[in-house]
Amino acid sequence: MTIEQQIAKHHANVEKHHLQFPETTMWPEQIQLTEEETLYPTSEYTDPERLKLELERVWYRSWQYACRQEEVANPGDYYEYVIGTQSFLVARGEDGVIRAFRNACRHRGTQLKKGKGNAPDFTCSFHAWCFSLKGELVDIPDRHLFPGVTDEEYRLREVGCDVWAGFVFINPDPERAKQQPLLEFLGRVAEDLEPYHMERYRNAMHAVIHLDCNWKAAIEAFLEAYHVSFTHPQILAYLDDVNTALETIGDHSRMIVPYGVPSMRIEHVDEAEIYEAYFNKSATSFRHKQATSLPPELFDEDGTWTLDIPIREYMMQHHERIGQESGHDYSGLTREQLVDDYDYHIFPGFKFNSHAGACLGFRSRPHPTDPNKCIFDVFKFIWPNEHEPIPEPAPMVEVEYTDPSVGLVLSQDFSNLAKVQRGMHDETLTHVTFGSPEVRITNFHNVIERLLAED
Amino acid sequence: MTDVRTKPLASLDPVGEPVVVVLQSQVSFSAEPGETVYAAAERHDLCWPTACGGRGICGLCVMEVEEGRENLGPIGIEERELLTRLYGADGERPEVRLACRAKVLGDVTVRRRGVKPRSSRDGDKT
Repeated sequence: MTIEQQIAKHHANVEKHHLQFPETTMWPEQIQLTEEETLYPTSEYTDPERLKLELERVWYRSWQYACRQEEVANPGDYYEYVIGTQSFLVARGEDGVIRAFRNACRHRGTQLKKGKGNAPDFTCSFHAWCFSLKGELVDIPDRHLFPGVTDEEYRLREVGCDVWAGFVFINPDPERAKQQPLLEFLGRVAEDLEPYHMERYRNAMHAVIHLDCNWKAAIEAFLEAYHVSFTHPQILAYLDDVNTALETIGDHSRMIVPYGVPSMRIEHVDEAEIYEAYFNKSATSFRHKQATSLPPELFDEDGTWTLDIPIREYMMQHHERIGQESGHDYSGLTREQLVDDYDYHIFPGFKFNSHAGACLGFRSRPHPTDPNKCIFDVFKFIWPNEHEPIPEPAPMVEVEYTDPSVGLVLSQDFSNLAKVQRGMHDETLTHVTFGSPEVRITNFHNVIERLLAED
Repeated sequence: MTDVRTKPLASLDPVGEPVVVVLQSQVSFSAEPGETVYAAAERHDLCWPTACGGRGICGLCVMEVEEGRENLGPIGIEERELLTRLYGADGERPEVRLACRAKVLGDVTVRRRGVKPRSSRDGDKT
């Protein structure tokens, strides 16, 4: 990244801390938004008709994350994924292939399965019409009474389904899924993330949280670092929200937040405070795997900090060591990726903070009918120790956003969102306004508008 | 918090005024009665961690009172709400205060890392 002279003063810590970013990323000062991108009508967060259109033209036609491959690990395993009013079943067949079907009996529409489980086939609970794990119609009681029913016409409706990095994606529109396969849809995001080996990760936590805000507002809260200094000032000691680099990648985007250095907004922070904040206050501190009080070996007998390398370098070495001990392959990661937050958004509603050996994932889904509500999933995906038994995937749990298990950082984010949604209804507030630090949000809106304009 | 530092304190305390001792940073300084801890530190050209410059917004000036809690002015609703929002249950403990809001009425000993004379800061490390 080239820092022009006129903006160098805003990013002085890049040189001071020897921060490195990929060439393709940009600083907010280098980004120009159009007026159309800057102003976005509030009605698009509050209008039920708009929500209906977004479901029909965005969600019912796009690739989207449904579940992890380990959640359908064995033949017969199924997992229900719901978007809007539509329910889908992701299932692994006897042949080991993961497929996805519309979750409705072809007879009279009864939902075939709910939640997750294992079954040899999908037998309807109403009249026992039976479908194979490949979706084939295999049995109808008293079949001679249904002379017009053919096996081909009455097989389960299959939708697009593919797996990338252990994430099972579905596309409710099978034709669009064929036109643009998953890897093509992901584009460079898939290439970027390959060195993290996320296919080795396991779903270690899945919390479902019902939020009183539009699905876009929910995911947008995590697409910029501009809010950090005021919403989460307690974490400024270990991350630099000012020197956060941004990049749009087709329909998707990323931002890179340096960790192990304090925000440029703070005049001075002790190394010990950076250490404590990094290991204890981060939303991704679950990945540190060990007690995180200040190690006595970092101080001399007078209590003076003795580490002779920058704390950021110490953290890189720490993660490298933990990775080696756990049998992880970090050879494809840069030194920066060992510690920094590589935050990716996959359109429409999936994002994650990537770190060596773990990531924190979020998924925002619309409420089926109410634009003022959404379903928000929080995931912890962790690369287990390769020398230990692989843990079972964590069960899905529903929690309130105020639940302590959500953690302080996320509860701070969530407590903003209901206020955001209420404010959107102000009669005089016709538009929300975005600035260049929010370019990932404007990119997100551009993609939505493009899809809404399609027939 | 664990105080792992035991070095002698660098003292900035004129006779007669309340004294603020900052453990973990090894400094002490005088405060005028009614002056906030943060303002007194600034007056002595001490750098106290903050992102908002002592406006009661960022909460980064948080400190833990070791001795003399009664020698600080009472905690206000806004200070307590901010501490709770930023630090959860930790922020609800009575000994946890914001340096920019706590008024000094008498001698007090607090814990806070990173309080340093501006001239002695090591800017290359942090």
